[in-house]
Amino acid sequence: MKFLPLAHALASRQDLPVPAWLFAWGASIVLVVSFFALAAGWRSPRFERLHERPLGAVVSRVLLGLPAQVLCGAIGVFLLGLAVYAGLEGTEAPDRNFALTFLFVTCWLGFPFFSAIFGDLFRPFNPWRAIGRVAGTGFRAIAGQRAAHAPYPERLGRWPAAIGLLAVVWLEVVYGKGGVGFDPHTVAVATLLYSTYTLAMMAVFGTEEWCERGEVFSVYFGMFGRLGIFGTRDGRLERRRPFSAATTWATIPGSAAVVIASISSTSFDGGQEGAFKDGIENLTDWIEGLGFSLTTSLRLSGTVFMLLVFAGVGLIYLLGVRGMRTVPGAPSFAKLRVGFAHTLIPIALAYLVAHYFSFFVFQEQAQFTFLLSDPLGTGTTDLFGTAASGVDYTVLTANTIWYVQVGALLAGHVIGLMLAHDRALVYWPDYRNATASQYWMLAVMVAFTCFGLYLLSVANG
Amino acid sequence: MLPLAHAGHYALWVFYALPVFVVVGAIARSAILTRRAERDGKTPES
Repeated sequence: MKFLPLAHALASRQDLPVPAWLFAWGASIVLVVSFFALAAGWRSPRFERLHERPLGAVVSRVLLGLPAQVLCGAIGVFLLGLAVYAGLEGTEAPDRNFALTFLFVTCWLGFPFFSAIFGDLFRPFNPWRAIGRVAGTGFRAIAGQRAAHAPYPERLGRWPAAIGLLAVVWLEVVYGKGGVGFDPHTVAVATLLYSTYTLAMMAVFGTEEWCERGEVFSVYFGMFGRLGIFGTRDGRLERRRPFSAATTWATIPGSAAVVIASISSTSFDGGQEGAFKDGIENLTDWIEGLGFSLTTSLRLSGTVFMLLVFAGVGLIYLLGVRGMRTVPGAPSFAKLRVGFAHTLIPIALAYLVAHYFSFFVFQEQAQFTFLLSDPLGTGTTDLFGTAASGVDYTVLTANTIWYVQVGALLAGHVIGLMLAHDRALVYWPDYRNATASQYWMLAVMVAFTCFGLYLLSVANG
Repeated sequence: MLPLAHAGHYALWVFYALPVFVVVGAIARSAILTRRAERDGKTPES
């Protein structure tokens, strides 16, 4: 059975009717046409209000009530515990152990994909939030008062989440490059360390405060949830206009860094075996020549490239913002930088779908068959009678994967353009200036689209 | 390793970068024309 748990993009050659680079040209033309269509027909902001419609009181009571909260939290804690247990006690073969696929595929990719449609799905299942809330309730019951938390430093904002996000991806794709050091046991230990750190931060700053700003997974999955159609307000479930909740997401400092970290880490992962491969190899050789071991050299060169990609993606965005500043009536650079950060969220999602969609489809077959039946991978259990199942790689053809990749990138960038145009109408009441400011965001979107397609084409070729 | 053996493969990035150059060039040209028109006291061409 061919099973590559850590290969994120299947390197299979497509049989396309035209060269792959022509898709970049076509996508760019679509973006330019979309830009002018928005300029011509969209002259007042539409996403600044959520246009929310509360769902029925019964639905809200059932889905948001205490029993549902307890059940979802318990499921989250149980699955986290299972993943850690499988990592510590199960097989060291990463493809047969429940821990890696569950944490790095089902959760890491599944929550963004589905939250972008339905709203933040992680929040009710967040195991650390569940533990923090239970601890808070226990403290109140014993002490007879609420726990006194330290005020969260405003300037710190979401920077802990941005750095944490890079650290999680670093652990997976740099530290664990080539499978060295990245085994279920290491992941289980890392999960325990992260859990300790998270619970400590929750104790210091408060559970909800830390989840909103510092907890990597809450911030990361919640960011995609802002694109979705469901949300909560005052304890009621409501339906809202898609993408509209994203407009208020980036007001906390460091939010732009989170979304840039998302795009850059996906780009780095997509390019390390393709577009950046020669550069990484040359740097590795150079570092090795300084007397470091091969593993250390690989990790150092990967770290350098990962940071370079982060800086590069950030620079492209900041250049777009700098360009907007030249348009008459522009707000300050800082206001523009924060005000347009949310327009990158659909791009971050598009990059995720484009790079990992096929991987997700293949790995979830493993997740819901043999990994569920035999979580430890020891070959001694078969809980659901599916332990002998395999992964069907013919379920997606190379061409299907390519068209999904191109479609995702294009849709993500058109939505990004739409959100940017909408925000420009808020900052420049004269729609002509608003349109002029968006020439620069058009350049940013075209750059990210072509860059994304280039990474994919090299990885696939 | 023979770097030249991959030259054609990696030169492909030019094809992907071309739309970016075209869009950035068009924006730069538009910005220059606007600035020139403002300096000359004329209404810029649309």
